Amino acid sequence: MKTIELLKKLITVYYYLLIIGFVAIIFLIVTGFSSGDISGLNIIEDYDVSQLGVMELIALAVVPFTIYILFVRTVYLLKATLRDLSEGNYFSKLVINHFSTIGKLILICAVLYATFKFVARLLLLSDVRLGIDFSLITPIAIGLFFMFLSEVFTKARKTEEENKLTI
Amino acid sequence: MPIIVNLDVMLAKRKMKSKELAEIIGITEANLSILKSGKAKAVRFSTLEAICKALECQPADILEYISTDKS
Repeated sequence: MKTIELLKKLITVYYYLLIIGFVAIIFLIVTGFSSGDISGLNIIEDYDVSQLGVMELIALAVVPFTIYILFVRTVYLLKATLRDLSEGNYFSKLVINHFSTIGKLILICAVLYATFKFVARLLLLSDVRLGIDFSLITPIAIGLFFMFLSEVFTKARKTEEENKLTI
Repeated sequence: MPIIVNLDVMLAKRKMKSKELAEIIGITEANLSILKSGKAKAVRFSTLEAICKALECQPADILEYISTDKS
């Protein structure tokens, strides 16, 4: 079971890097607002956000900030799941619930980000782009896969219980 | 569950203790308790064979079907 240990360490490091990133983003926003120089914030591509008012900027920053928090939560759940899996609790209720939640969170993040990108481009750059966004398909597929994994583990849990109760 | 396990009855008839039977058929007392209480989901033929051999009985002496249909 070296693979799960390696994955657990990788996700743990990734989680703490995200936390550091979270702190850095807050620091940058606070510093930007206090100094009045917010031109360095690239919320939507190369659009110069310094032209926007404070309230507009906050409204614009809330969505990616929420997505980031949701993503950190997703990685945290993955970290907790991997800890349980590495202890040999393959079909515990925690693992099943976490897989389902992780899948849903990834889907929410993907859809929220795509919607935000579309609306922000429309409002700020007056640019409408319709078509298949391949960057959106990957997280949706991963999200659905996690939800399917949760269903598979639910069935596996039932089979394991039946196996345990076969005398 | 409509399948009733009458292992207690057979044990009493043979004047045998659960611990003794568990040792003879090679399962743990905990598993035998699960079987006796009717919590078991399935019984292996090998286990049933061992029980019948130890208690000198037929599978029908241990397992009984009781219909749950109200009609």
